[in-house]
Amino acid sequence: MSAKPTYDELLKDITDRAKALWGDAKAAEMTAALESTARQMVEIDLVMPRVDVEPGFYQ
Amino acid sequence: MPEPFQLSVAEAAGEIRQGNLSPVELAQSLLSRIDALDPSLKAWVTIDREEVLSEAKKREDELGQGGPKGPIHGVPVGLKDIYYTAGMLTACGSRINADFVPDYDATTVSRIKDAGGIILGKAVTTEFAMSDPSPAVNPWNAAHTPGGSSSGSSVAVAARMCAAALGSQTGGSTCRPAAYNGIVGLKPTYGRISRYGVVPVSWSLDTVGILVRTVADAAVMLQVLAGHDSQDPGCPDQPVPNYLEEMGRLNGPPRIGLIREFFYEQSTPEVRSHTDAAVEKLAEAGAIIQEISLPESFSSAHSCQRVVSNVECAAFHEEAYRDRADEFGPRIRSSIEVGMLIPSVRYVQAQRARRQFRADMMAMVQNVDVVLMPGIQAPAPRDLNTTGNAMFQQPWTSSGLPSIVVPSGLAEDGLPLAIQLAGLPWDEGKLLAAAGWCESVLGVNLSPPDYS
Repeated sequence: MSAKPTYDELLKDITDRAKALWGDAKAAEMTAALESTARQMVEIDLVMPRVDVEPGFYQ
Repeated sequence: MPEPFQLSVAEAAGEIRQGNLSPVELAQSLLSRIDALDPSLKAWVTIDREEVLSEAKKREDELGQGGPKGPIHGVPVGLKDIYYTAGMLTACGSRINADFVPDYDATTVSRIKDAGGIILGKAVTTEFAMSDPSPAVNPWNAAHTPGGSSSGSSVAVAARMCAAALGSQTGGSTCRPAAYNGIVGLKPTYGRISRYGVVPVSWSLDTVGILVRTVADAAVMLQVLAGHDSQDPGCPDQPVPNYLEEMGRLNGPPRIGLIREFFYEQSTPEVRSHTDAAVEKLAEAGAIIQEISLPESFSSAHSCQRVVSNVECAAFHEEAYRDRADEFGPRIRSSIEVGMLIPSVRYVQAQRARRQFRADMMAMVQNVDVVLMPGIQAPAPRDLNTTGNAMFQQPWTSSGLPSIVVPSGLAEDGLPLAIQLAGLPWDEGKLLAAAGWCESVLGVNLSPPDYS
């Protein structure tokens, strides 16, 4: 396993969650949205800041 | 004097202060305008005519008793239908909130009233300020989207049904519809204006937006609305300068950082050449133009905005979704569902990336007065099933930096184009000053031909 989750791992993770919540048919309907979300999560991981940068909620 | 409905906020307030225009006359002019235009433009959802005229009469009486209450005395203001208004329906363009009547005013609504303004009514919004389109149409061409989510507010201001309206921006919902409709849209620094009493999309992204027809009016409205509110944990105690004075404080033409990277790549050839022509005009008038590069963290800015927005949207709507999922429109429903699936660690990483991105964007802007880019990729799409693309606005919402769009001309298809400027957090004074200078040099004042 790599240090950061891959696109395939992230997509499988959220697809499994969708199936568990709403069933296989609904998860299949959501394929485009799930793929797009997995891509977004990978993009964020590509440029993560230093470990000492805390999250900003109220900017 | 032109017809009252044609006046800007500053002009109307000035005429009222000088006794040349009565608040009742102004309110009647706007209500008649709405009666005439709104059946085709569909910008308004709730208007209480009796209440508007009664408030206008009170403002008229107050002028004779103690003078104006504040800088917008007697001026009617529109509200996107996500702002809490005590006793008035706040339906958020949704079936879920179809009967919701708040029992208090949003802080912004109170501040408008305290400044002498009159609540004209509630303008159409996309469902819960997300991306399912609203019924409003673009006054420049009814076959084109007016944008969203502040669609009614933008259409109302563009078509002279009011001089100012409030919108909101979580992605691009103030500046994009402003650009599509040929008006000025200001998204201040995150936290500059209280969100208390504004139905949220995403607590850590939502920003109150101002829709007007001139940069000076944006300054007037920001003056009325800005400032600390203990009811909003994201609205800190930052000093509020006098924005009109700040606008006059620019020592000569501004130093402008031109961002071609990404914004030109994503624009149509027409928008690229239009923006280049505008920049050339600004340079000829003395602006110092310096091309600048985006930070590396820009590459994930849009993804951070989407992940954060979807998760927070899911959190806010969780209860309603469990009971009434079928009553949500397809796009907001999809956002809620996707938000429910995103792992908590990925959400926190997106918030960490946003914090770094904000710091990087501030460093980028620091060496110039403002940065400039096209306001939109292309004119408003000829498609009423979309609200257009927010990708030119999302980075400024995600980083919390203030941004403003200013009309810059018309495209070949007759629809408006705009430039977008952005500046440092809490420095709206400099941003407004630079935007006012650009507005004056470009000399563009747009009015939809069928509604002039």
